[in-house]
Amino acid sequence: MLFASIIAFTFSALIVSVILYFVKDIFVKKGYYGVDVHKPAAPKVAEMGGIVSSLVVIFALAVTYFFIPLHARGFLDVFLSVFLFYTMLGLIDDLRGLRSRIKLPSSLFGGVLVVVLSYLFDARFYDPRPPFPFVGEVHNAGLFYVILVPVALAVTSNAFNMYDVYNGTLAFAATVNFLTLGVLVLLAGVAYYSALVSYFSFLLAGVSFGLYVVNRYPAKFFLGDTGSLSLGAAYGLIAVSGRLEVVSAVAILPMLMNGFLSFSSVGRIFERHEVKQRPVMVNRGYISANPNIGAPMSIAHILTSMRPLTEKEVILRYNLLTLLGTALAIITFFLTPW
Amino acid sequence: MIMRLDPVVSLSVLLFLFWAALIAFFYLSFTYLVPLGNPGSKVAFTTIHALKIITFLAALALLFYGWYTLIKRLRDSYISARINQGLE
Repeated sequence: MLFASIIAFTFSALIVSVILYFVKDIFVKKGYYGVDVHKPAAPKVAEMGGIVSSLVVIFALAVTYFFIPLHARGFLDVFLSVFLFYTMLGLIDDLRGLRSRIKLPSSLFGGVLVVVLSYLFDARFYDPRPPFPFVGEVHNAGLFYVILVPVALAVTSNAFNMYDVYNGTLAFAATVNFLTLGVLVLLAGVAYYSALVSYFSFLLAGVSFGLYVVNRYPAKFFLGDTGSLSLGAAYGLIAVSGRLEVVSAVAILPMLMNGFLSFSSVGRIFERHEVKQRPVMVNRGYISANPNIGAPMSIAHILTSMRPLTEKEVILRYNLLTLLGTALAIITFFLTPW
Repeated sequence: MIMRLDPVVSLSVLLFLFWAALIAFFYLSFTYLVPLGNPGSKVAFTTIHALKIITFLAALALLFYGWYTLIKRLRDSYISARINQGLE
């Protein structure tokens, strides 16, 4: 299975990066582009790269369907359906621009879908006994866990979405975290379908790396909400089905910190276009924190609060925080009695 | 002291401290909270179990709030230092 995972990683990375590299100009010509506001020239960059990554994931999962035992197909059905749901949600958000009061309940609904579909397909998608560091498996968490699944998926999908603000930051974080989870799921071996979950994780790491190739500084393609929401939801699905709830939460601590700071500083959940003030200001290629009291806080806001930084410097700092989160997750894994 | 460091170092330190507090919190829960009460009565068991969950979540929320306050203070000190230096 590890061999299949490595193959899946390599091929998905290759396919995503090559396709996106060749279609970037077509996207811009058709009007599917965003303006890279952090660069002095404000270039037009093709958007919605997540469509290609999601299609590659969906195709790979559909092919997998024929190679797995019959009893595991329900599991794959749930994964595929929920992934498809978040891809569609991201696509609508990219094309129409969803308001936060619609987007948040929709992302919660995706989590409800996990619970309902795993019941309908008898899929054994999750085990309501999350392992905690030192404590081990927590029993009697049944109902609480069922509530936790939609919350977890809403949090991961939106946290990924909010981390996608600078070239390559999200794609880098997704690659590193999916790779880490892919290995840790196998090491823990406590999930119903550990090998399959690990394979999915490597596949998602592959598409994330493919996205990173075209999204890294200076970006040729943006992921769009299609990419960030679907990858975030997939991360939540891997965490829940791989029984690595706490470990995966620690791995994305920088993302959670970013989302929590933004929402709590404004006092409500919001979309980018719904706030009047930006967390940072851009002046001749330098990014500095917006000093106004009402400005939303974010990681970038804090990183640039002492002195202005170039975009490259901000990205490097984001990636360092990502690596720190991953390192802490690995330590947390070894502190958990499996 | 932490306020004088580069923001990325300060954030990393705060992230690490939050994680360490979280791990310590799990350890304390394991040592003191989990073994608490295992009575024969189902009602008493459910009550103690519910109280344990509430204590666990309240402590977690407190931890999160403390961490958020620290980050906010860090940001404010950086911004005010920048304004004092006349960079705005």
